[in-house]
Amino acid sequence: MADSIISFLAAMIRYSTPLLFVALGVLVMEVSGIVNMGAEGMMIIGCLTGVVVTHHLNNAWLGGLAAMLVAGLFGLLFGALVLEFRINQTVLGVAFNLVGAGLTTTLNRAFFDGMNAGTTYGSFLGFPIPTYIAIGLVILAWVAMYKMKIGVQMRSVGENPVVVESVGISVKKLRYIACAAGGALVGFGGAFLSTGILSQFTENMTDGRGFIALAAVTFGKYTPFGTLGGVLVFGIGETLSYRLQAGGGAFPYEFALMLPYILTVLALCAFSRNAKDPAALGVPYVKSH
Amino acid sequence: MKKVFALALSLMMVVSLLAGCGGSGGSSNPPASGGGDAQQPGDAQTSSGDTDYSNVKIGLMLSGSANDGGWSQMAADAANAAAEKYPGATVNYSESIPATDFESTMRGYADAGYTIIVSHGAEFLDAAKLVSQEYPDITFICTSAQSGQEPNLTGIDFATFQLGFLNGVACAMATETKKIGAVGSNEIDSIIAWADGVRAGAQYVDPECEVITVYTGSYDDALKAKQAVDALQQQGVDIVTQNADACGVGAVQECDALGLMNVGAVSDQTLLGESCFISVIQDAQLGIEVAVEQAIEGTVEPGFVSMGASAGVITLTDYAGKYADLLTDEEKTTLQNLWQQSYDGVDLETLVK
Repeated sequence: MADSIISFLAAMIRYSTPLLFVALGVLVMEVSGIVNMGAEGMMIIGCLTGVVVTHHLNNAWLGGLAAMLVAGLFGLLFGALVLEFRINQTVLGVAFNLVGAGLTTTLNRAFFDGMNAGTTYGSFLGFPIPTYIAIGLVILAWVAMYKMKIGVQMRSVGENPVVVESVGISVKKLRYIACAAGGALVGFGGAFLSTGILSQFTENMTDGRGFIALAAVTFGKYTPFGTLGGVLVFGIGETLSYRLQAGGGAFPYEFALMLPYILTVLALCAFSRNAKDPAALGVPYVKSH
Repeated sequence: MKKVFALALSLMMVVSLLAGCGGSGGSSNPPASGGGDAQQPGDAQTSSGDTDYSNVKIGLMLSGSANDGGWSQMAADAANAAAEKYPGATVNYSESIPATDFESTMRGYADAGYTIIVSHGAEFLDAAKLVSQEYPDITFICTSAQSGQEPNLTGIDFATFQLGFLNGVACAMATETKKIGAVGSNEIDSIIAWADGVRAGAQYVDPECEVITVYTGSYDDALKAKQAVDALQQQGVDIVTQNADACGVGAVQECDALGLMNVGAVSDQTLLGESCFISVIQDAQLGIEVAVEQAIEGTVEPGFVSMGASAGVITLTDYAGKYADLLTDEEKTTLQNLWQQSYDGVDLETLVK
């Protein structure tokens, strides 16, 4: 029994790691007031970049770094379109998802079809090292958000950018930083999925995880530990869905596969009813003179 | 300036999407309705005397991606290969079609003047039965189907039971725990028939063998297949076989990681990992190619058609990977003999009754 529980928890933590990176990236952007509906697109770009660079440089960490760089640039592009041209953030997010899926499919078919990463991240005590980094990042994000100046400024930008600007802090600068950092984290989540959990890219391999990350952030009431909780709820549901099927019995497989999504929706209803979005979330900021 | 950026972004999206459909003649959407009645193929002559098949338009509907390295790619390659043999014939395909769009995509092809509509997979059968009645002059082909329909719908089964049976036999001969894992994509007719085949094959070798089936619910998400294999191992499974399109990559890789054995299905999955020691190939490409050629020639029969080992559709790969020498020569001969029997027309299902 104890072995089963340990194995269940180990599988859940291991397979939830990519989602945790993505959710943290979404969190960083959302607390600064940017709705990142395009996380799915940025993640799949990270998946392909990770495999290609890891394959050519024979180093998964460099692959992850390259994915952070490329997805970070996409994050900056997202920021530029939102901040400079005030394009509707939700629509832009959908556009990024379409671009991400289309671009990676095209490039994969043209140049990288069937490419194997060839190597992966090291592990410690049975878990890949990025799993520890992800948990470390949750703590770091909490410290940064609640104990450091940059975090307080970032949250303030998400709540009331006019006040932040009035004390001489650049709203745009803070939001650009959030977009770049958020994009980079989402990209690493993608790279870890394709090179840490698997070892190659397959089209549409993110399978909606960018959207689940959004739900996890809302579930967590825009806090790092809450977001971790949201990711784990989904992870429990996902792991349970396969254990129930493998365990036999009369449990219909359709219900087993629905389980993670039902659990996430129920958890959102139960724990996030009073969740308060950052007041300026998704609101275009116009600098007053 | 804002408009220019918005326009540039929109263009980028469109280009990405169009290019993303990939392959020759790829298309992600059903073609726009354009009228045009279906014509009999090959009714025109070119100046050189060769028959001109430019009035033959083939529409291919896929539930997965056309370069998934497995199920969907086979169909795309087959349709292209068949069309190449008939000068002027064209192929267009739609990929990753959601179930809600099956009928509308099919009608889109029919209204646009396509003469042959191939839907690849049992999941399209209900839509094909409905739409084919509305367009009696168009030839409809549905693959992996367990039935067809007069006068213009041919349902082709690529002997999925035979495929599963040989998978089950190979697994049962290798397992020590007598527990076999079967990972399927979705609970559709063809996958159910395959899982039944795995069970029958395992029972044929050892009636005590248990087959546990897990569905991923996805054709693309390899991580789901990894999780499925992980859950199967917890139940004592020591060998896994999978029929789940691109998802299958994850199943083989997880077997590699957990030290389990693996038997591939559909495509040569011994190339995906060391744990996969043999694959049972289901060469749907050959079957579809033949069916499309017959449709172009106008000789395809409506109703149910089965193509298995005797049609060259089901074959075995060589042994490979770290378990290549696991089976004894006697076991290898047994497996080969079973394939030979199916080649000779023996219904493998009768062997376990």
